[in-house]
Amino acid sequence: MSTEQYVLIIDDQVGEILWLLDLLAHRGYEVHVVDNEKDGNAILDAIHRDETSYVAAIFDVMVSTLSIEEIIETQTKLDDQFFEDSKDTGIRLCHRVRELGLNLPVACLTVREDDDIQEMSANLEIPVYHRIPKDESQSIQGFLDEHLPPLPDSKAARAPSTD
Amino acid sequence: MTPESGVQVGSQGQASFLLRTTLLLSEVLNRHLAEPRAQRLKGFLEQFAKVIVEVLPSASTATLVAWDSVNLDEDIDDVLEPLAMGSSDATEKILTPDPWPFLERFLALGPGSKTGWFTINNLVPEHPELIALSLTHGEQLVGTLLIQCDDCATFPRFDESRQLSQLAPLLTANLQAAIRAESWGRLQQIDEVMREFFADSNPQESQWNLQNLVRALSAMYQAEGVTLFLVEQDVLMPAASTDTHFEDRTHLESPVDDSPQTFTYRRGEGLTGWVFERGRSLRIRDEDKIIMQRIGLERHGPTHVDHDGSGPIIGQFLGAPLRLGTEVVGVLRLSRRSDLERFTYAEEKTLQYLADLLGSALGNWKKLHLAEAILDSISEGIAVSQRVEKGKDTIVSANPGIARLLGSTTDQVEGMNARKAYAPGEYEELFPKLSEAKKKAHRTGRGEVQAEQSSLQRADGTIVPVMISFRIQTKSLVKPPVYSTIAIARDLSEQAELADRYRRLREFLDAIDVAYFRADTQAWTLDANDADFRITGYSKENWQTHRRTALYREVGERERLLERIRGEGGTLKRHLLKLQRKGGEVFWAEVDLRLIYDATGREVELEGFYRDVTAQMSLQGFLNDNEERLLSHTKLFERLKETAELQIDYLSSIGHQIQAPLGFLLGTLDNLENGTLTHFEFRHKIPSLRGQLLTCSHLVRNLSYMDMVLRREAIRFQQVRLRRLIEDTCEDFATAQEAKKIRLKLDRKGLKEHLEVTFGHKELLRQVLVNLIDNAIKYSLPHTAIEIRGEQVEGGRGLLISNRGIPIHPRDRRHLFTRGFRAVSARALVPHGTGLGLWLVREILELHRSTIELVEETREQNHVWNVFRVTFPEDLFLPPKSSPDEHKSKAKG
Repeated sequence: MSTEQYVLIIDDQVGEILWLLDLLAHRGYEVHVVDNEKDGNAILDAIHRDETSYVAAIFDVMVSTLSIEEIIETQTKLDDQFFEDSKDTGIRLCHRVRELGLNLPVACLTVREDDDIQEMSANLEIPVYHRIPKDESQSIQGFLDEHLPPLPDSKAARAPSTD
Repeated sequence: MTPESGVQVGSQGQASFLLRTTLLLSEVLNRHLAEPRAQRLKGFLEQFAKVIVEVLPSASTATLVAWDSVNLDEDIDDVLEPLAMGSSDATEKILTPDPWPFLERFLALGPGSKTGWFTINNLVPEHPELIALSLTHGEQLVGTLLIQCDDCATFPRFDESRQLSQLAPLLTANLQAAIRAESWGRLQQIDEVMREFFADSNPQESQWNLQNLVRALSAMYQAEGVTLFLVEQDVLMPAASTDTHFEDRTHLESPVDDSPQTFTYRRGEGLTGWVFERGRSLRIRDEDKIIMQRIGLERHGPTHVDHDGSGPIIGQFLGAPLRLGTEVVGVLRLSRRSDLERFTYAEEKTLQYLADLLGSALGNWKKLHLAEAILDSISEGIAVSQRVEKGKDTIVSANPGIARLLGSTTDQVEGMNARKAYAPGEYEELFPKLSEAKKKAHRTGRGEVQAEQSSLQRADGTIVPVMISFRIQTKSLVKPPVYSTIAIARDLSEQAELADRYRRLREFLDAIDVAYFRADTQAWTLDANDADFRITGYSKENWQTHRRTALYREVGERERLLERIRGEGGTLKRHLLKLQRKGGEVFWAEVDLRLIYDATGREVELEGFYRDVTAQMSLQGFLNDNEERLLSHTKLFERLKETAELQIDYLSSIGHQIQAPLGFLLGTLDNLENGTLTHFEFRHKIPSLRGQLLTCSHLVRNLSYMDMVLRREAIRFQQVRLRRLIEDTCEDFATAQEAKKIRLKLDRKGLKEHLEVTFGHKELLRQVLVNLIDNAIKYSLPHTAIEIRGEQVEGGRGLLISNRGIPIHPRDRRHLFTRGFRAVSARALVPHGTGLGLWLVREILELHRSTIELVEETREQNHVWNVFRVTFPEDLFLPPKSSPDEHKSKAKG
């Protein structure tokens, strides 16, 4: 069995989270990036069936429900409902995690600050972090320190803390 | 017969001769007056001739001719025509069967033939025994006596010569008596006919038994054809006729259509038209030569000939005008065939008498009926007043119109004091003018007061505004003269109310800033309200010296607008016009225009309402709406709301989009700070950091350029190295390419060949490239390439940016470049796009007179490629002809 520990990231703009990927790699984690809801759900189901495991998951809130390839292949009708659905992908994924009763630390990363997000966060007890945090409570750093501390052989574990 | 038996010699003999002859002739007269009328004059002449033979023993045969003196035209000498002839011997050879050629020769002897007696053996060599005696009354030749005697060598002897001289006046007097007797008989007949005619007719019901009249005249005058014509619209139209085809000839002619009247005469047309034109009777033989000689009318046969059972009646014509004063109101025409006796002088004169009677009856009737119809009008009030005592003008006649105006009945109005009909003080106002008119009527018989505004007072005391005019007629047949004042009044209360409504409507239009104007065909203002003065800047006085063409910015623009209105059927609704105020300031007007036509369909005026909609148009321009129409307030509000919502969305969306790259920067800096990244590793991140900063910059620039485009700021063109710009921009996207595993593939050769250097605005063009490439990267499949090519295309030079992504529905392609629109496919995949980029691309390209469109290409493996094709006009690539200032452009508007 592999000793590598995976973090699941669901986000369709990878260019904007390269810093997060750097950070996780520095702490010794492998990252699996998925860019749509359908693939994300499939992984959650696989976790539920114990076919795979992740140490934590980080979701972007606004993500396409399907991949471009699948949209083209299945000729999916791209209507207003599809658009509305894509706005709340992260929220549905969080619900799914709770429904499946997964023992998986989850966090959301977004620029949204509306009531829907806050409500979901309160109800499901899933933290929502801002991409540009105004203070430490909004920073994902705390979540990472709690659930994704540097692994023993990681660069972070070897390097002296700057704090 | 012997001289002894018939002729007494000496003065006693003379007296006896005269007495005897007189008695004999009187007996003839008395006897024949009681005879039936037919051929009476001829009978007289025959009997007179027999008396001559009896009193002149030398005379074997006597023939008496009665002459008709005709003078119809001042330019033509008197013409003598034989009226009738009678002979003592019915078998008389010389003058039968046709005496007229012989008699014409006799007349041709000249004036000498008209007086005295003489033999005419020189004239008729074969009849040396003939002698002639002229019967004259003053200058006029009344008759001729022709005598044949047994012994012409001795006839007349001295005493016979004296007898002949004495016989002439005696015969003349009797001949005239005979002719007058005929006239008298005719007049009696006419009296009977007219009595029957009036008994049969009912003028009140306009039923005149004209057909019976012409039949009676036909019998009385032994004329086979009688037709009565009446004048309508200066044309003689048939009224009644004995013509057997009369019904067919007139019933075919419909009074409603414009078919030509076939049985009508114009002035001067034929003999009937001659009578109509000259207003005098005409008795003439229907022979072209005689007609030419007598009345100078060139003619080839009758125009509309009467018919009877035997066919057309041609030969003799007798026509008399129906006169009413100097006016000809009709023509009565009699036709007789040639073989019958000639129409006589008496027949002509009596027919004229009858025609004048008819003229008075029918002409006046027509005028009276018209006058009655006018009097019956209720829209015009008519009252006739006369002064019966000093200071009191009594209304003697009133029509229903004046009764209605005064709220009374005609019976009540007639007899009232005319002054009491006026509102207090109104008569006094009119008095000076009435007085002046009366003075004129005293002098000339008639005076008038032109229409004046005044007021009448009703029976219930209410006041009626009226327009009133007067005519004063003098009847000076009685002494002192009587003045009748005819007042014609029109109710103005409706007009007054309309005028008041019109004034209020104009005030209301002013209050709501709606301008109204009327202008003539030369664009001179006929009427305009204050709103027109306010909006245009031209005062009422200004419009008297300026045509409305001053409002148009181009010569001929108003004429083109009029053409447009004509094309729309005379009315143009809610049309948007760009006009200029006094002083040149441009303004927008929403106009409703219509052309006004007169009764003949001629264009006389242009009338219109309009509002100044400059503010709305400016707002619409800001809202990026089409300038060719004006949005309703509801639509404008909706559009404003949409735009406001869009603006909020933009800001919110841009806020979101900026945060992602900023978050990346922050995270990377944090990583550096907390040691996740070493300085060495950080250095490698710099291109990514730069890429994310550029993304922020692109987003902010889009906002800034949007502002520039919407504010229509002037932009200055310069030389732009376009190929270089494309290559540089692609490099800026290096990080983005890497993140999405997308490759930018440049067709360097094509770009160099077709898009090397252009004219334009460098930074705006850069934004076009940024937005197009950004768009292509966002919506491309990972691990695909984006191709950027330059090539010659239809209409100029093409820049083509192709990528493999989601097919865009043809329906959406049109809207793809509209502000705020993002194809559903795009927004589904990237929910936080602004929908601003492609709109801005189109706007900037429009400033460069360039276009953009999205086309689809299906390539190998059925892969769909989206191709954004920009077409630059060829002339943007030419070197500048003069200073760069000429290459200035401005945002639309």
